[in-house]
Amino acid sequence: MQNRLFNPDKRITYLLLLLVMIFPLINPLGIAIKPSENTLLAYNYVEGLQPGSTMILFIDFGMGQSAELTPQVIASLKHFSDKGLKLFAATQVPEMSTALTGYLAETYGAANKEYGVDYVDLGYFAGAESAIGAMGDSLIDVFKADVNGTDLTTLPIFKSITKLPDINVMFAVTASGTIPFIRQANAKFGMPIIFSVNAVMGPANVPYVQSGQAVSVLVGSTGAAEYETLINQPGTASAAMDAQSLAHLVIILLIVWGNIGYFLEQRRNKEKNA
Amino acid sequence: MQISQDPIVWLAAFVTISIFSFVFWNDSPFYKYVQSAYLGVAAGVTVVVGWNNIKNQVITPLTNGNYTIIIPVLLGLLLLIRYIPGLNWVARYPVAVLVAGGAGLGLANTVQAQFVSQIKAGLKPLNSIDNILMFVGLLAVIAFFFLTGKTTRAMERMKLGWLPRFGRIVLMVAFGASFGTTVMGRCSILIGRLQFLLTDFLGL
Repeated sequence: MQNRLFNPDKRITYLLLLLVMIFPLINPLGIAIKPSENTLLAYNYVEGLQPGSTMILFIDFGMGQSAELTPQVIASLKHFSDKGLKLFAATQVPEMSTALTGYLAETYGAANKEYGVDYVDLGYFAGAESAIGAMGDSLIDVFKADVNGTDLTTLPIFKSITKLPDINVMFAVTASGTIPFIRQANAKFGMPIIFSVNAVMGPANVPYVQSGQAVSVLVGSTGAAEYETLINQPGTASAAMDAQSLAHLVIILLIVWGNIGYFLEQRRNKEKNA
Repeated sequence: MQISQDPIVWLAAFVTISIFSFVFWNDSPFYKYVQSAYLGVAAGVTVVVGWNNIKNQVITPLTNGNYTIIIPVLLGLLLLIRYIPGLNWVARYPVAVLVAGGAGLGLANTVQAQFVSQIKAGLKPLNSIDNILMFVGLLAVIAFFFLTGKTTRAMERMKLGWLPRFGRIVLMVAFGASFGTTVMGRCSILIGRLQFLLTDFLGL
């Protein structure tokens, strides 16, 4: 009986978690979202930029991490668009080229920003870190044309921008690693970088903020929800926070429950052997 | 509730629920079918992306008169020679170029990016509990990795035997934090799928 109580069928655990997540998605609880220090750092930095400042966005995650990172991209792009930042957007992941076009349409496009003047979609580029390194010498040699095949030299946004150091700040949304960007942009040119990473990578990358190598590291969908709160435009990440909070609470209770069972089992074995 | 009329949304919902069926019904026929279909689609996308890369990076520059691209193309083709028995030693040359290029690209700024800056950041003034804890924790973790008996005996003699033990606790806290954020990430991905099913598919 005790065994079944403390070692239930795993399907019961999964069903419990599913129900706990579905309930707040249908009936939101309205748990307050308090922006963390890292999110405030990123938000305040962008707020401090002058309209017309340039930003390069790198999308470095696949569809598998899109649930976590897409809300961050959308919230950030809305903020950049509201601030009047000129945006260069590119992706290192082939399948995200179409998604990137969609992100830009939903944000800069919807805000009636002019393509080629206020923003440019550079699409997919191959070469990963070596390509980022080559951008330090010439952006046009790496990309040559935008996602529609338009020669970059004909676009007004490239009038005063020829290489990566000409751009004011980088926003790297990555699920594979921050090191290439730090090595090729920050260490080489001192370029300020705002990172958005998935939750798994959060703890390992926060030291870059403490060392001054990154402006901020926005972590997972929690970072996205906090950013949405700061820009006052709640989206999918904010909607997910109630479910996230309840799921974590249930997991903590299950861990405590499992540990109680473990120690009771230990005591029973000791009594049996005594 | 307004269920979606879009066949793509229906397909995505079918795929999502089929994959989830593994949790409650091990290796269901739906799961097996969707898994095979996914692998096939992924392979197909890889082929298309690969061909697009060859077109954009090789064929287009060649037709535009940029013949320097022939050198990396030849190196890439030499990699395939490893499948010819007796000639597979030739593939070592392009591998050497790849490894040397990658090492040169990475090492150039690694010392500054991953050593000097991080060490500088670790040396904070000891004027707050946070900074003291961070500094002691840093030393403790470094001490933990002194695994030779001579060093640990020397530390015991200097009454510093507690340092590597504390380092182990610090490491456990760090791994615990990492595990916690991993759980958070997985929950986020599941919630993303549930949001799709509830809003885009069921229209709730």
